[in-house]
Amino acid sequence: MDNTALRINNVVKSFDGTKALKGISLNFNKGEIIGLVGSNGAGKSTLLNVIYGAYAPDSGEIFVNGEKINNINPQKAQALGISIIFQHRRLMPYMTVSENIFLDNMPKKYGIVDFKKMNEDATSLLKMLELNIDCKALISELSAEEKQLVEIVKACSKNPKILLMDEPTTTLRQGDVERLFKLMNKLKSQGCSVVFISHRLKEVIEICDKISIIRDGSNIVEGDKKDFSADRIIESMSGITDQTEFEHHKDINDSSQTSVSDEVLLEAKNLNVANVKNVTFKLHKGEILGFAGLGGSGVEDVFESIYGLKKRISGEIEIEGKQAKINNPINAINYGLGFVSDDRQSNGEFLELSVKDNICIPNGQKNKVFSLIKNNQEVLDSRSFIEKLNIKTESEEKVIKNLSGGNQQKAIIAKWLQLNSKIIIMCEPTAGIDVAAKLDVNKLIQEIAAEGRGILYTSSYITELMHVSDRIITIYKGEIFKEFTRSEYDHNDIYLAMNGIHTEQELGVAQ
Amino acid sequence: MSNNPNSTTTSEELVAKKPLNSLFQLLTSSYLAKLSIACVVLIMVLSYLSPYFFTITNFKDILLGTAVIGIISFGMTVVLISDGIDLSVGSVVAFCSVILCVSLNAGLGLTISLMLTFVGAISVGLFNGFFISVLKINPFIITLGSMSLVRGIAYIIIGGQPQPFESEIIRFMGTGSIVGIPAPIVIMIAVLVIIAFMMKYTQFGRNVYAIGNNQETARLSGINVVKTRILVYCIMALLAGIAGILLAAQTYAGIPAAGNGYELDALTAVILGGTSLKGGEGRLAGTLLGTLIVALVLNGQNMLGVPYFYQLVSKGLIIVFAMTVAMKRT
Repeated sequence: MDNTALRINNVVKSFDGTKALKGISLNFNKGEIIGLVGSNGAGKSTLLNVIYGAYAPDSGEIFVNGEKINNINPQKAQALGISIIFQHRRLMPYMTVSENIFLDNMPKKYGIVDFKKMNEDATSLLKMLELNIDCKALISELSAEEKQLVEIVKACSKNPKILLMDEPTTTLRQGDVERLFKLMNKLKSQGCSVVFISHRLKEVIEICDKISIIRDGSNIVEGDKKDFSADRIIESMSGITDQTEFEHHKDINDSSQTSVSDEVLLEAKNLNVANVKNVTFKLHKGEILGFAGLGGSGVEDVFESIYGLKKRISGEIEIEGKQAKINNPINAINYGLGFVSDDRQSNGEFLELSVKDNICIPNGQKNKVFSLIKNNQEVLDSRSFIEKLNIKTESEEKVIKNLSGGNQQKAIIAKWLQLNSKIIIMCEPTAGIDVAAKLDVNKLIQEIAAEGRGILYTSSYITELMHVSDRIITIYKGEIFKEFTRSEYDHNDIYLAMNGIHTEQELGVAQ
Repeated sequence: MSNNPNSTTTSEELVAKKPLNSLFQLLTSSYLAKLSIACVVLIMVLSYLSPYFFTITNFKDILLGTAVIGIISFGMTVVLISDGIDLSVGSVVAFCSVILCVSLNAGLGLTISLMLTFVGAISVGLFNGFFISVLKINPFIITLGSMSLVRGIAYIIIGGQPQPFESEIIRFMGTGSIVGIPAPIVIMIAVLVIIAFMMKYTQFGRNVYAIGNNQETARLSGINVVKTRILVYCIMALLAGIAGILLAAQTYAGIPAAGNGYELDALTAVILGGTSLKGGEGRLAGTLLGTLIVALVLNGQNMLGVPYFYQLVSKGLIIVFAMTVAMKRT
């Protein structure tokens, strides 16, 4: 018999016209751990969701044990022995640990749930992973790591033949990661094929037998682990096109390099936030300071605490040499800060309001509550920003949701310009917009920095980060790991630093 | 039909059709226009069914009947736009009519009595606003609580039974008329104009729309969300207080049982008027039309001699209908 547990053939999946998967074909063998690697938005999570039947593919075939499965859905997938650990936890917060583990197949006695047996089974499963979690505790009482561990136990409780794991280690501590790896090896020896997604290169290289790299919704390379060096993985992930795109715009960088002055706009001293330890840095006038870190590394926590969205445990923020007391966004705005979030729709814009209102609302807060809106002034202001930033809209009165993503993002940036913010914090400002618009927005960011502002910038695309930033600070597990000046920029070095690795030799991989 | 060459539309026909088409489009394109049509149709049908309907006296009655509920509905529109809800309005109506009555009867004088009434109303608004905005507790639950709490206080103050009071000016507010228009209608229109202006042209109004649209964006954009939401509930309570004074003026009494079910009447009018329950969307003109339609339906049933119990059923049906339309629109 064939040793293939799962084969997917030419799977295509699009969302709102954007192709997330562009015809992926992969083979997973029994008793193998496969590392699925790719940068953000490459389509890894989408692929797992398609295999599990949570998303219906537009086209393509899925074979389990050589048999073609049509119209797969989560029920069918479970019946076939496919289990999944989602990236975002899906546990019921007000049910106990054991209820969550056995949610869809609680043991029964005389037709009613046999709680005694359920708790015993749960306890033995937890013991298997050497976990010290009370099976009668409510999920809401557990820490983030414990929740993740329960999720893992839940997925394994069904004796899966195929286990899909979407970044299971992001919230785990080192010891727990080791226990997880032990469990994965055990499942592997039982003939289960495990698909493992992680942004941590070290982990992938340590645990996986095979590595599949996907990029932009297509599979690029796959092969045995021994065929891969860390460099090769990183290069395949980022892709040649990405590199050329960066090369193409190198000239812009060089010309904008001169705008950084010695004047310090913002200084963070020993910033301690939940998940962040002793972060200290200076932001200069005219500078774009890039932050690089893997998901959960703490970059966003640093940004949010500076804007007053996350509580600082200790540490100081100085703005233009004076200590700033920032406890909420209103304080931050009064100190001349602005914030562009990574999730436009949920906290960046007022979808149903006009472009003009979206641009002018922050500035209007300077006036008294019941004062009249200075409509004529606002119309003039928004028109000048529409023109200056080249926002494509017929009129300033157009409802912002009818603009394209890139133009919406420009309008959001415009509101901080209208307010004359000196420092703008930008968390993935190019998330969810197309490539051309990305270049446009990044060019705009460089221009507004050159006008004498300071920008704190982060992107999960290293090439983009290198292209935009004047300096890059890498954060690993909440601490500053390494700083790169423009002349030291090297894609692979930055990626390794995000993984907490100084040199490639540390990985212990033979070239 | 399309196979028949004779049936092709000539350009003349197209031109002739166009004005009618565009009028039809105009009337069906916006929800407000549709509401206006519904209003006119309703008046036509009721005039046909009852000879007493289409009279000036009856229209005055209808409008008089909408004054109290209209003022509450305008406030409720603001609350709903801010993505909130206030169920305590009926109790505030009773509470304020009781405060006015008791303080007038205690000989405090009109000015002080009115001031006390407004202080009473605004304290309910502050109470609701504090829990909803500062402590971030669900507005439905909080105002459900204050609905009972405020009603209870009204009963405690006045001692259970309605009490009459005397005041020339208050009496005029309820039954007098200004250049032939009944005073309550003048007051309602004044309130409408002020609130509509506030929502459209002031910073506050735009902030309310912004908060209803996306509270998190509002916070990150530097809008003082806490303060704005407290103000919304204070304005709501203040308007319910004015409605309470008006009701007392029409009945010459402080009635602790007054205003029962007004929260539902107001919500019906507001939702029928096209304000979104999801917040961020809504217009006072729509609420005015919604109030009128509800009043027309109830008045028409009175005219036709429909028993009260059946009227309750029809009111319920209007709410279900309005909600369904609201959900389908978005």
